[in-house]
Amino acid sequence: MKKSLAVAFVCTYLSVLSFGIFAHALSFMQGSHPAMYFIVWDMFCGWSAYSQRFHVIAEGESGEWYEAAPGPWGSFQPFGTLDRRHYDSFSAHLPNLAMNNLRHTAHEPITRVFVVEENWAKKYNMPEDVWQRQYGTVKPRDEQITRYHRVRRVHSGDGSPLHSYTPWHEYQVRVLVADNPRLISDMRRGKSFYAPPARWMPSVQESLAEGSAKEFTARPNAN
Amino acid sequence: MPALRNSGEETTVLGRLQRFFFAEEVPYGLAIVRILMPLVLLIDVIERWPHAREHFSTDGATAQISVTYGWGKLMPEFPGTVAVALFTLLAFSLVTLSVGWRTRISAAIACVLYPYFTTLDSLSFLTKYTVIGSHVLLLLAVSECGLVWSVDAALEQRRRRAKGEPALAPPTTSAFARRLLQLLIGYTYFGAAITKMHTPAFFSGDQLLFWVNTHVNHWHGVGEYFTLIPWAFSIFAYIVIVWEVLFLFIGWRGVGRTCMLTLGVLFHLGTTLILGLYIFPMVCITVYFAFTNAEDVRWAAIQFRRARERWFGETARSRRARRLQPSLFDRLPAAARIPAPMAFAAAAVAVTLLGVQGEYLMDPYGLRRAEGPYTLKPVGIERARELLLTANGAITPEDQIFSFDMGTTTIGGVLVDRRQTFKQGDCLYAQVTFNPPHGDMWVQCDLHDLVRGEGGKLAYEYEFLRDENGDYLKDEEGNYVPDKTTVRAKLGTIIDEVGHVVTRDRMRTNFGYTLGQSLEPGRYALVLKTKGREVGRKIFTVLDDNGRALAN
Repeated sequence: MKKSLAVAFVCTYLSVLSFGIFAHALSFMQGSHPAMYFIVWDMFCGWSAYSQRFHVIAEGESGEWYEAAPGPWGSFQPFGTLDRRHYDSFSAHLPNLAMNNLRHTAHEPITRVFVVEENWAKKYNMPEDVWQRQYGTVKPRDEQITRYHRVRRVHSGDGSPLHSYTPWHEYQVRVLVADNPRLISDMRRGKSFYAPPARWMPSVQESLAEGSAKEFTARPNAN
Repeated sequence: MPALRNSGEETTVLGRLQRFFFAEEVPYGLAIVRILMPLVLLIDVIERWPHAREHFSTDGATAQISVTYGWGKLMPEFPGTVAVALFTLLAFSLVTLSVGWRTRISAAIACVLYPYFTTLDSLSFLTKYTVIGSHVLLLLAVSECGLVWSVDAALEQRRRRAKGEPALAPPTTSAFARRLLQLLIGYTYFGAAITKMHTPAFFSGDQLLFWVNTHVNHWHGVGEYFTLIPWAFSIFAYIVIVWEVLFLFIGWRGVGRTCMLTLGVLFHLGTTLILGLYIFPMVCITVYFAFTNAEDVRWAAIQFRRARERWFGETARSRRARRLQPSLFDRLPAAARIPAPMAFAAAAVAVTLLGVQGEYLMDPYGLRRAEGPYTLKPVGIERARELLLTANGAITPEDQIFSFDMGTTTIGGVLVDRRQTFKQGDCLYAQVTFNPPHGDMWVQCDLHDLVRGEGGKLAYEYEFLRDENGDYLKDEEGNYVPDKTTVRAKLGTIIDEVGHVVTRDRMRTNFGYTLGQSLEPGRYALVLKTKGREVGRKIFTVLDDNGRALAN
């Protein structure tokens, strides 16, 4: 009996591991269930030329702005010197973190919470001496480095989602691809004519520019 | 054993599998993994214990992995005090598993609670090494890893001595759990190799080039220096993938085992120094001890005994005398010898309660402070504007270029010998590496003669206009506006202009120059431009056959 159970366990365990390899190799169901994380060994991070950080800020009724994450009791740095919030590359949990901090602090009524992504080229992460040997120049100071921001999520003060936007990297790829008059022309040409009812419809460029500060300020709290 | 080897059972595939998985052995390898792995995992658990309420309870902000996968919250969440109690129990079970006290139940508790808590906090607790740790805890829970080198084994020996029974030889058990641990690490490496096969940029070294400049792990100051020798990544890449694929097939015994495990240790030490991974290597190297067999232990015991004899003057007689002395357990007073299950349960409850009380006193949210709850930290309006109103700017040309180098030789498409001095007859490559994403670009490289200024087109460099705050002004296309009244430097004569279209999928482009006799010895500059703007400049010297740079 004990041996039979052991045989069954060995067979099941190896089957599960093998399925993980199969799913990973052929990109089959590898993201279909959270359990797949336990059997798919895709161990890579950092495959991007830009460093990514997150800022979570809250707007009070008075117009004052507050840091909604990390909490005022201190941050937790799990793998070095970075706060926990920076590891949420999909920004799926950051509103939850902010709401927890709001629940446990004294503050004026909050109207909106913004999750903002910040990016900069990773080459600026080089230490000064590596930079000088690589480029032969003095490394730019922090304020000289171009930092790219993008609003990723907007939530109301009670945590209700109002807007979510594509990640900065994806947005830039779309903008770069769309920077092609022939492509835009083809996209327009391929669409059948449809006159919508009297309602504003965004152009392709406007759609691609979704999440811009202009649009955001023009439609605050829009649902 | 020879009888089995000669039997028909051994020659069939099923028989070999039977022997591979179910041969009886003293579980020394499992015992080492059992001792080390919980201690390694405990590092993370202790670090996170003060934050248990915030990360793992309904009184905090969990980050379940299932939410990221779009499945909502699949795991149950408990109130803060319960979460703290369970997290404390997890720490306790890891300690008792390591020492081998009520080993099976300790492993069972750890193998349920550890993956549970890691999935509750996918931001800062769930990583691939915690996944490997969860697998190992599961395999320890189904194994008899506490048969040797454990409190349980010592208690069993004491029981036999108390009853006057002779001491047993080291007990044996089926090898299947140890085999599964070996297969687990082999599968892990094989899966990692598949990931690399899916990532072409891994083989060109680009993936690692950016990874060493990523600051999301621990300190890895050595890695950043590899930016200066990016070709090394390409060589590492091929060695690593060959090792990862082969591990599962030849890492079982003999030279293959020695090679694979040695390469593994070197690889993981490299990830510590170059990529800043600390716990991951510890987890993987701990699993390597599953490759330990009885012969290895015998060899190590002999070495250990010789070392004791050499360093502490121990003799065979003193060794016998030491063995006859009563053990720590034998010396315990009779009143302290309560039944092990009761003692274990009492200790678990006591430690858990102590943890809950300690966490209450810590007051992680500061709700019971004399001055009341914390207040939110204000953010200046300027900072809020910077975050919200400078969004979505186009990537500057400078940021689209990672590096601009010169040399004569490439390996895997990457320059090997970056230099600033060339000889007539050399073939100079000017290599531009890009930061993805970039669009389809026109990239131009101008060759300037810095010595001879006559003839050809003259190029100048200007200061750029600034506003009253000192910030650079930009024109409608986002380019800096040159102040043509301030000629900063004459760059010499442009003697060659060449440009490439670089499509968006390219990471690199090369400009090739043959430095023939028509290019006189002297100083030259290569100026890299895109969108009409200079984004890089390299000055180099061309020497004649005698190694001299002649000046006009």
